[in-house]
Amino acid sequence: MDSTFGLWVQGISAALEPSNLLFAFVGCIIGTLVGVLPGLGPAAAMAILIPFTYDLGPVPAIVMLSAIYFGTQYGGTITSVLVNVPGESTSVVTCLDGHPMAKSGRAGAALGIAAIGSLFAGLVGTFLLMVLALPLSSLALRFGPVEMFALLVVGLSLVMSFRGGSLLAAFAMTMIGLMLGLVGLDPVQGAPRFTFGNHNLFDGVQLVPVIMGLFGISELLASLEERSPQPITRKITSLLPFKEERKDAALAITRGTGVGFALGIIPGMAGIVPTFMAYALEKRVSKHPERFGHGAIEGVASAEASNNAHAQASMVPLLTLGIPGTATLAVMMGAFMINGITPGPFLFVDHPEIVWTVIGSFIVGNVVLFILNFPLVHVWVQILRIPSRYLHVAILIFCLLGAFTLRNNTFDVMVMIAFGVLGYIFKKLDWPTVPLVIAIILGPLLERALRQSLELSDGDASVFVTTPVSAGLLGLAFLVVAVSVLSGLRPVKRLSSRFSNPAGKADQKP
Amino acid sequence: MQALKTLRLIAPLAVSLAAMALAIVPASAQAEYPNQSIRLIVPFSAGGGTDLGARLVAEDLERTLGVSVVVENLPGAGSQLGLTELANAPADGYTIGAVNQPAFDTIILVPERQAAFDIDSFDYLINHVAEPLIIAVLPESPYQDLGQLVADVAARPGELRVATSGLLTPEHLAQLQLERVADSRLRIAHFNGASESMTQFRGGRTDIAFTTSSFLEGLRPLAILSPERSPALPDIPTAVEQGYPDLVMVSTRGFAVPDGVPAPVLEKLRAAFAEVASSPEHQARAAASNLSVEVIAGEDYDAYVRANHEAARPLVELAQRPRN
Repeated sequence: MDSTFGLWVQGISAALEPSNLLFAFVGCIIGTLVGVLPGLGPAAAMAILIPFTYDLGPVPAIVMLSAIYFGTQYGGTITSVLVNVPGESTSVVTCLDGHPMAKSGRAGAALGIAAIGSLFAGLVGTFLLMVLALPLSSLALRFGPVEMFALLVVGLSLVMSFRGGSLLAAFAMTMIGLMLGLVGLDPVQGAPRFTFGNHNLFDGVQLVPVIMGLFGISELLASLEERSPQPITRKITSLLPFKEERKDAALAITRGTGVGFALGIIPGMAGIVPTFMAYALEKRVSKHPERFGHGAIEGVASAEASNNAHAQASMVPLLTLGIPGTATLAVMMGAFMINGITPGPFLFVDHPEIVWTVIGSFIVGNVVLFILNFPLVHVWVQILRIPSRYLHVAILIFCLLGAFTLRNNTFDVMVMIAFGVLGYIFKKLDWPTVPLVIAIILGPLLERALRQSLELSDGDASVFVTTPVSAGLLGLAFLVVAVSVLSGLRPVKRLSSRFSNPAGKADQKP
Repeated sequence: MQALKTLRLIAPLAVSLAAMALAIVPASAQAEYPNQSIRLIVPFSAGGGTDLGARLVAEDLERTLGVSVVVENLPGAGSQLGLTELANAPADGYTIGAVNQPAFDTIILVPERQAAFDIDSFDYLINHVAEPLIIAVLPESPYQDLGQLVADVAARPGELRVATSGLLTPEHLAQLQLERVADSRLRIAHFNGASESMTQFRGGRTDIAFTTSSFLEGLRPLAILSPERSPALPDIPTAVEQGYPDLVMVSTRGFAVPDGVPAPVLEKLRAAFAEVASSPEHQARAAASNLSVEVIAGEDYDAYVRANHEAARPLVELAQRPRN
């Protein structure tokens, strides 16, 4: 343990060299900008920047790339909170409460708690990575398609937590999302489904344009209705939450970190899954679940903490097994290999000094990101002072560019506009869009996991109940659905009893 | 004042003269090729192996040709979107595309894909990277060579589990080859990308790994599926030398232009690509990015592409057939 500690100190001090600090700053700035721009994701940004790291040497290159990775996580938050456009798909959940907070003049507090939550999750996540990476890696490997299927069923059952109004509307939106998730080439037969002969739909409906349309464009359309749009706020409020919220926010950050880290170690876990699960959990344990969706600070805190903890945890399979869980991490692995480091089971044994330097650079990256962004919150909030006639045009251009740069494809721009109009209609009907987004993401994953499980078991469906983890998770999903349905029915009962209370009304009659 | 008036008279004249001059340029462009920037379409996302290789080539090509070469990522539908764009681009040598086999073949050969191009829609410039598949097992596995593995596959149809990195990927096609060689059936499960399929293997959910050199650490390779041993991995015997000439699966990445590019332009491009890809400095940089360059130039590459295409045809037909 002593020698480990020594290596750890060495790693941190290597990452703290002035030149490396500079690269961390540069990486954080680039990452934040990439995160702010919708469409341009961390994978593409890193891919374009890798050639510039050729001559830097391994440590500065990794410091910079990891700073970019963490920076994008935070950058996406800024646009989510200020203008309701998730810069990255992981920031969708942040929109739910972050933007309402901004509307009520608390953009500063939303961005502040996001920065604090990210820092906490980043540091705790790195600590857990240090201590648990090796024991967890073999555990994560055991998580196969069968377990993934059961976990995704739990995820879908939690979608109901996002209902704004009626349970039925949330259910309908989930179904629409699942159906949209079927579009594209069948993963087993390769036959096109619902593509209408359009090759642009072979990979399915692209997620980023859908999200930008449903959230950003629909918001712009809704704002057109207001004759003289209300400026959100001219006053910069405190960056800290109100006193009475602090305990809840702190607990939310802790829980979010836990959920994000636990799910993040599973290879191939998309970042949005732990994020919305953490949010759903927060809403369940809250004494005031009705505040969620209307500016609950715990919502922002848990979402941001969990997506950052996920970012740290996803390094576990990368560093210990050489398995990059996401496209971004695949690019990162490429950068490691160019610099002569092969992530995998032997990295910890053969090059412990590199591992600890990488981990040291994560700590430095997270701290630099916080130092850079916390004071900058004041600057970001100024964006809201821009008169909406200019701001909204700028957002529209941003979104159009973002949808295009995703695949350099105008079809995706059309998709975004179509979903913008749909989102506006849903808004008018008060149908929640989040279940739709989550179902679009989870649907294809669920289908793949189901079919992979059955392919590997040669068509034997009993694997889902004979595998302990899967059986447990499916039981949990059943409970969640049962509770949702029961609690969903209760207010209806109350309402109907109020209406059908002839006795009470009769009493008032003279 | 007078000067301003003169300027007003002259300006439109100058502009129209300039326009005429520009209009004349294309006529002499062939002789002067290249005199404007070149688009290099990469039909995959930025950051992948194809993109990495194409960016390395683009950088060196700029120096050789003296014009800028702009990499444009047009991902989607397993390279179908980008290749459609390439096929529809003007055949003037100013649009080049990256072509991956067997991805390219499967798009053309699966009728449901309704590809807007076929193998004759392009002129082939050069093969850049070749990545042979490797069949590997865990060190504790009973199989010591490919023969034992094939025998076991034959003895236990429908028992051994394998994962692909997607439908009709090289892994999938190689597994179909193995089924054919052993006259047996594997449990084939489709995953999304090589790292997902390797996760299944490392987690003990599949029995045989079909993989590439980057995932070999800690595994026992049984056979490399290239026609000859790889210079980078000289210790791994080929399937061919172990008596299985039908087990050959190499994924290749090359470059092509739309069919009909004028012969002098085509020659110039082929020469420039060959110069770039053959330079030791380029190959060293590619090796650092884990890309093994294997130059097959000009007419040879054209024949190679067509041979690969024909080899993929029966496998794609096999994949289309219902299982069991």
